[in-house]
Amino acid sequence: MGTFIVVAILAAIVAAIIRSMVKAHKRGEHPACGGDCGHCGGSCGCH
Amino acid sequence: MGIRIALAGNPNCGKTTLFNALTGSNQFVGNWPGVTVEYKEGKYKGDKEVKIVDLPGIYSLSPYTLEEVVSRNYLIDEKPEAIINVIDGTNLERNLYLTTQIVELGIPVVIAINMMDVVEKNGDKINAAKLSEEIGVPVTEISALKNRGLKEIVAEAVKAAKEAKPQSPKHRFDGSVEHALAHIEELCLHNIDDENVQRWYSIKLFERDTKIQEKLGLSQDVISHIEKDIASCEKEMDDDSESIITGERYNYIGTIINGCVKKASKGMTTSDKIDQIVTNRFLALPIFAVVMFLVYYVSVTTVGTWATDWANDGVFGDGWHLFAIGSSKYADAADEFTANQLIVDGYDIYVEENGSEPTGDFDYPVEDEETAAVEYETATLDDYAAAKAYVEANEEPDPANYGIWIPGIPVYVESALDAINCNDVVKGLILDGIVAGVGAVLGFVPQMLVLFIFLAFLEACGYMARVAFIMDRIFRKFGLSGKSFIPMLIGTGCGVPGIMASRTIENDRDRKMTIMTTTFIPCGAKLPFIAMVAGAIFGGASWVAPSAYFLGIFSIIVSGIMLKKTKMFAGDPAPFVMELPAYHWPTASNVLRSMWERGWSFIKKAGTIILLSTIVVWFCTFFGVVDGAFTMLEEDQIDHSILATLGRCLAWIFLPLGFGDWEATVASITGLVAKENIVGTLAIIYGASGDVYETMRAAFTDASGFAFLAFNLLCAPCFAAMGAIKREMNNTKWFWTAIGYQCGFAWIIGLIVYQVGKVFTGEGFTFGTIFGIAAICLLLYGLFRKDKYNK
Repeated sequence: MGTFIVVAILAAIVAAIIRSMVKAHKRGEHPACGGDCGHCGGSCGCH
Repeated sequence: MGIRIALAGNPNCGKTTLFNALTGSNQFVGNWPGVTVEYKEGKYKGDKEVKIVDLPGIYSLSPYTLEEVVSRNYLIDEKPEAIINVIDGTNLERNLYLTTQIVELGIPVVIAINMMDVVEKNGDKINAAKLSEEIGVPVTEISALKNRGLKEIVAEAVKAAKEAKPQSPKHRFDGSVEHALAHIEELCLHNIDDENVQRWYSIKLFERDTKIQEKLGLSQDVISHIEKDIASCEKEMDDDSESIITGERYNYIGTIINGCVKKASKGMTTSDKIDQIVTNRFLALPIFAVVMFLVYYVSVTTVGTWATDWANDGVFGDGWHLFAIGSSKYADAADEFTANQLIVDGYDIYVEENGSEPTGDFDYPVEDEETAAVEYETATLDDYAAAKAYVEANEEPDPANYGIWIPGIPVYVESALDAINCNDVVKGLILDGIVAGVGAVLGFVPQMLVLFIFLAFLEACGYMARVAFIMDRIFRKFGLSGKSFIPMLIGTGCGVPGIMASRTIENDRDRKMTIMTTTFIPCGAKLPFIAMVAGAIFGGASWVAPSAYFLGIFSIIVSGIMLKKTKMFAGDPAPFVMELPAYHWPTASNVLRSMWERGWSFIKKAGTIILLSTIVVWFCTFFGVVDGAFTMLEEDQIDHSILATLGRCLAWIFLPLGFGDWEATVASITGLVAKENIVGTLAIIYGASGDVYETMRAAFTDASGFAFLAFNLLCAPCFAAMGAIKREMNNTKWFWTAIGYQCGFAWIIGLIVYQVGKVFTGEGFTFGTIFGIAAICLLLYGLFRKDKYNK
């Protein structure tokens, strides 16, 4: 039971991360740049 | 419908500071041109119906660079309801040149004289009312940094937008210019309703602005007709049309300045005095080297190390004593216990190796914690007796007995998983994968924050702007432009905005070359990797982190010289004009905000893409095929893992660089997803064999360790930066040329470092050293060969 709960939580976290990354990708962001828009001179162009 | 107010002005006049103050945004503010290369929108804090648009800085409405095109196109095509023309009060003459053009656009304009606090401090006086009267638009004195006059300027802009009555420019050119302009208007602009807009287009056509000719779709006949009018005027005034307009505008500005500005006459300012030393022809470079050495030394070796040790060994390790109370007593007790235990263990080793007890003094091994070097010390039989008695009488010290002991995150997580009887596979995934991998990356946050504080301070106080000026002097000697250094300054935070800042470079060849070399400068994401190599392989040596920065600059200069001599990049360097801002103490809030924004983006990344990567790396490390069956592996079986198999396929590439094992190979490859992944991957792989740092230290020599560092610093950047390179190059061939050059250059530098470095680190001269020397010869040829394409 304990394992099941941990796996479920982990799966939910992974799903949430992937979902946020897909949404970010659709907005033109790249997940590896960390979305540091404040420092990005061209933030309107890619984010 | 809401009101759009555009902020337009020269580069570095404080538009983004004003934008942040009006909208509550946190857009990056820098005191060099090119910080804003695309326009940004935000809602005014005081009225959400008012939208503020921050435009890239421009010197005129005759665009030469990409970001200048962005600003002009926005003003002409989007037609905001009003423009706030931001003017640097300390340099009115140059700033008003743009003003004379903006007021011709047919859009309501209000002028904001910014930096009034500095103007007043200098003892200068500006008669705003007179200036308003002369130009014919409302003028408000503000200080964006000190939040002075901001409500007033927005109120003026909103009022002007609601009235929607653009001011007619008061300035008139010489009679023959006006005559030509009237002809042009009559010829092709009479169908434009707004007289002001008609006039603006006619001036641009008089200046032979080809972009405007294309925009209006003028036929060749009309252009020829206009050309006759222009030629006739040029003949009369004995100058070319663009110079005539520029000259007339400056004459007009001169009369305005004489009537509205009173300068306090005084000698050199404090900034000038500092610049006499900091930008001195002989001292500038050594000072820059010392400053950057100190920044990296303090960030990685001293303050940063204390904080990172706490994060790595405490928060993501076994635990720590609250406020360090009891730490030193515990350390003394632990050292004493360990020293005695080593003698007892050494005695047992002697018995095991020799089959009999020692009859006199015996040697026992002691491993240095920092360098992992094993040295032998001698103990007498009396020492052994005392040590044995101590070990039997005392238990291993428990840190909880010496102060308030707070266990680290892995301890809590393990206890929680044990409490719910979690399966070993899932437990391994969480502890050895996610916690070890993400923890290893997050452990470097303190070092990064210290580095970001220093960089923010150097940027905000005005020193980094001087560095661009200093580098221009050096770059120019090699046929490069100091403009190429601005993206590199920005790239110390993150390579993506650094690459985008290359838009400020007009010369397309120089721009492409800058894009190719910008990511050689270590970005924030590479810092954990640099710190890890410095700590694990070089025992925390202070020279490692600064050398990474200087290796980046060296690579940029060497690449620039070599590439400039090729047909693809030949040409004169672009001129570099930059205003040096006065030195000033940055506000603590600005520095801390800048640090936090950069740090927070790093933490967010650790919680998303790094976390996912650690799961994949853990799975590929702990699963593989043993005896024909796909199974979960024991820690001593990871040589059979999926990752090991993949790594071995590519490890041969790095064999000449001294790190041709699968562990270092896969770490280099996962680093392409995000550079922090190198740390996360090594933590998982080496963590499986025991202590990460000790295993890493055993896997590398000094030469191969620095070659590993050099290659990963200089090779292709992360996917995000690669995406930025692709966007900015806008050409697949150029994109692959850039990536290929970066990887090739990194490989050659790695080869030289390892093969030649071996000679100096006691590994001797080998057959491979000949290839290292050949690589040096190749670089020297590239540097000193005859330049066929540049005169």
